Amino acid sequence: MKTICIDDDFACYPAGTAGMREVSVELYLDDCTDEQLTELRFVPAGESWTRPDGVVFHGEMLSRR
Amino acid sequence: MNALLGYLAACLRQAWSGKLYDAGDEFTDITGGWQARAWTGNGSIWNAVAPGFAKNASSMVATMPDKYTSGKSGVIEIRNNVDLTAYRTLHLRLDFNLGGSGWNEDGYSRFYLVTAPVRSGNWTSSSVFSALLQCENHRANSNWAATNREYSLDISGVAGAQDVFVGCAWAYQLNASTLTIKEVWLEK
Repeated sequence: MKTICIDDDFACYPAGTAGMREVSVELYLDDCTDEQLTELRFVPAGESWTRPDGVVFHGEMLSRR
Repeated sequence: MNALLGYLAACLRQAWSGKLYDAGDEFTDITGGWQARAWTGNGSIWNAVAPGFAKNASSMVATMPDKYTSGKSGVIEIRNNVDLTAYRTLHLRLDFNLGGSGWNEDGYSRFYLVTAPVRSGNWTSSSVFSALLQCENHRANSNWAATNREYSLDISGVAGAQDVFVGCAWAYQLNASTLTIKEVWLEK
């Protein structure tokens, strides 16, 4: 389990980043460095992200930004 | 001769629709076919066990067979990596019947849609996968079934040759679970 921060577009940032929402992530990010984290997007379970082309993706999803 | 074969392969790739599986067609020229493989997604917490696997005329059926046993995981995957650079979305359509939790609700039946550039390491780790969707994480006691359910994974940030697979993980199920895979396809 790892705690991270995500912004309104579900982009990932290290825990403690000011002004962002903290979420706990099971399994996926245990080996992830802060630098690698900022390359990812995390959509929590029960939430959805709309890509700029209008396609909607439902969590729990991790993808590359 | 080699030039001709290269030309034919290029034509085949150009004509390909982006489908990886469709109602019995495994698109073997592109994928190499589909297989079940023991591959852990969580180190020793999930023992690597190949799901049961049967190819039918119009579907592939994966089975998470074990009841009341500790965590296990394996994958249903393409044999040959496919270049995902030109594609933005990976889709999966299937029926499922998930067996439910059999031990004080500590049990679960899960499946994932995943792309990865490698075929070793823990496949739920971001150091291994390039994109991952947890399609379902069923923890209730009773079973849960659905038909023609579709899942979509964002792969717009994924480039290069990748394994594509349905990851299975199960522990302390009340009953076995089955995934009846009908279609897997890429979209630009």
